[in-house]
Amino acid sequence: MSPSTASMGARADAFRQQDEAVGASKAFHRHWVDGVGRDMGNVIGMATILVVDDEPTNRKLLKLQLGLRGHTVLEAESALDGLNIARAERPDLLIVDIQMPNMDGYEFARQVRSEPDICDSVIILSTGAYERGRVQPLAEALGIQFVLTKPINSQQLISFVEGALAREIQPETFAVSADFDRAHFRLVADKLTDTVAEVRGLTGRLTKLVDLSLELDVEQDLQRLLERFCRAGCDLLETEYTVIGIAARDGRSVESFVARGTGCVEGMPPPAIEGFLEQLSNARGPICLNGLDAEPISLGLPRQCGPVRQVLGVPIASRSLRHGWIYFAQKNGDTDFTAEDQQIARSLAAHVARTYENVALYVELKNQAELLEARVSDRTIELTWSHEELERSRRQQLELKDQFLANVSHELRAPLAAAHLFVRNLLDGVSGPLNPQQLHDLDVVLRNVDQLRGMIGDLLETTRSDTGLLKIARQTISITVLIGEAVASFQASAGRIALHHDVPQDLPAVFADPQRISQILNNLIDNAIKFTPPGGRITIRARLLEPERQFVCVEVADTGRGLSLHGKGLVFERMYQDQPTDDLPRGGLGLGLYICRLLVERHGGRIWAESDPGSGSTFLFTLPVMHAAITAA
Amino acid sequence: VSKKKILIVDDDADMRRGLGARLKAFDYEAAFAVDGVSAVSVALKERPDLILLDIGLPGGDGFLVMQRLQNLAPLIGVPIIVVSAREPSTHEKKAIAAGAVGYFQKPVDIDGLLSAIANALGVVPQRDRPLEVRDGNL
Repeated sequence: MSPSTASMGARADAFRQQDEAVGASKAFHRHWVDGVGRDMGNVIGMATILVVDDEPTNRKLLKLQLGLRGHTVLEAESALDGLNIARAERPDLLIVDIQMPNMDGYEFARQVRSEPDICDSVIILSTGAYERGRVQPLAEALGIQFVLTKPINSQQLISFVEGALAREIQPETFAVSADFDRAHFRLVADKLTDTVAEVRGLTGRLTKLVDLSLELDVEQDLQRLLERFCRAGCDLLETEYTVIGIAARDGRSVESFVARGTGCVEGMPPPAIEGFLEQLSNARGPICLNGLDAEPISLGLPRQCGPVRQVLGVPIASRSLRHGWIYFAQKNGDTDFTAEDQQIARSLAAHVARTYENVALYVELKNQAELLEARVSDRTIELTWSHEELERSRRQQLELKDQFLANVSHELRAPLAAAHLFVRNLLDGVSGPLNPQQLHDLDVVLRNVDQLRGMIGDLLETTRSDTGLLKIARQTISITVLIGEAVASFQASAGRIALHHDVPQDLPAVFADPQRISQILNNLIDNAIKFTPPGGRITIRARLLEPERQFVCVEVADTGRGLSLHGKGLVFERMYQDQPTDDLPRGGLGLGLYICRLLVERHGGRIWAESDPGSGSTFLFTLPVMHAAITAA
Repeated sequence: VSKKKILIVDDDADMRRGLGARLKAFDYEAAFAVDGVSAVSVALKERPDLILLDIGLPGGDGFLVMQRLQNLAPLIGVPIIVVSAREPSTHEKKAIAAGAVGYFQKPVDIDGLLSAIANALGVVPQRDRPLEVRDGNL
């Protein structure tokens, strides 16, 4: 069977049923009217009534009232539901609300009229009193004589419903007049136009809100921000005044307070948090009061405003924090605040909350940053001071040490100088001739005086190095010249030791302190003389170290007894003395080579010893050549 | 030919006596002063040909004394040799820069000093280069 034959069959079936139903309905009416219906007051449980209404309260009310009366009341919460129930239950009466979403009461009634099985149902349209005028023509076009206007009391309802049930239905009235569609279309179109206007109004307000939010997102000054919100509030909510209060942290007083409006409201003291404001402070949503006669002062508005007739307030709060409240007073045209106003107020308040939090955060961050900057700057100054102080005291300390060493040096040398001078005078016969034994004895005195003098020098030099006072004044010098001078100065004291030097003339210049290099050379040569027996040989050489050509190496080689393996490693250590033997003069403090090492290292060079016991030793040190020293610096 | 006169300025009496004896032995005439103040007055009175100056004098900066001696009109051009226990590393350059013709650290290399004196008195007043400065060594 194709779907079309099926539906054809169903339709034929439906027509037949329609005839039967009409008959049944007529019979019912007759029975109802003739039998029981005459005495209205005694009719109990005689009719089945379907209430179609999207408002559960309305349905409950009707069910209660009609149920008490003894009728069976069925409920449908939408027109579509209602149709299904009507088809299944065939109720005697349908009470239909006109204002329903999706399918309204008119469409419902039209559908009922078009279905043969139920087209003869008695229909009551229910509507608000203000709609009555508009409903009547459409109801007539649908063949509906009964329009119930809400609100209605129980007694009226019962008599209206039962009146409708008792009325004889004319079959021709079941036909929907052609006027209905036109009228219904007009109605729907009107409604649409209204809705469009509403949406347009709402869109306008939302656009304002969005513009405001864009504008306020860049504003960081709290007071100006709140003022802007106030002006926007009057505009959006169409009120004469808008007031914003930000509560102090304890929530008991108002910290920031801004009111704007048509009258002069600036400089008003913030109102006490009591009454409406207290209520608002604790509220979760908007509080809307219409038809008031409130004292303006209590709302932070000047007396000139006159009594406040409408006020709509919303707390300014985020999820967890309450910041204050915003309220709008005196609706333009003395009208009431609407639900839509409340929505707008709510979103404006949410926006104030968000913006306020942003600004508060921004201000806090800015303060923190400024504080931090100030602290860093303070600390930097402090550190600079303490650093300078430290540097000053370090310099002072060095100066004191230097001064102390100079004094010690002076005091130790002065008596030695006198002793030395007198011995020399005696030796040189200034005080008259001496015998050979006396001369020999004085030589011993002189040697010891000189040793003491050397030790004092070494001691001071070491101390100076330890205290960071060892001074090196570098300049470009010729190592060749210095070696020549040193060798010349020792020729006399070398005695029977042959003192040679072998230095190429084209040796590059070194960057060093000439006095210090002479000191090193003197020390090494003096040392070599000390350990070389008469008839021995001391050779001083210098060469450029290949292939790097970065250092000049100077060596002082002797033919003395050489160093022990142990001594080779330790000879440059402080206070080290290689195994003394009886045939050698008493050594000094063991600081001479140590000082050499200090000086060479300070110049960026290296010092070491090479030796085979019994066949002499060689002391070598390097100094950076001019270009290397410059590169290193 | 009159003897050359040398003024010895030193606060150490032993040094004054020892140096004096030595100089006399080498045919110089010696005059003595113990501090900066007497150095000026003695120098003005004795008109020395050369001054041996200890810059480590008590109660005063030896360099100041040197400057004062140099500025005395009758002493213009009189060579000054500094004899001091102070380190040559720190004081020699300064002394030479201030106009001394030599610097000897105590204990004095007496032979070196005598030759420096002879030099200074022969080639008056100054040398380009400091004298060979070397501690007396055996």
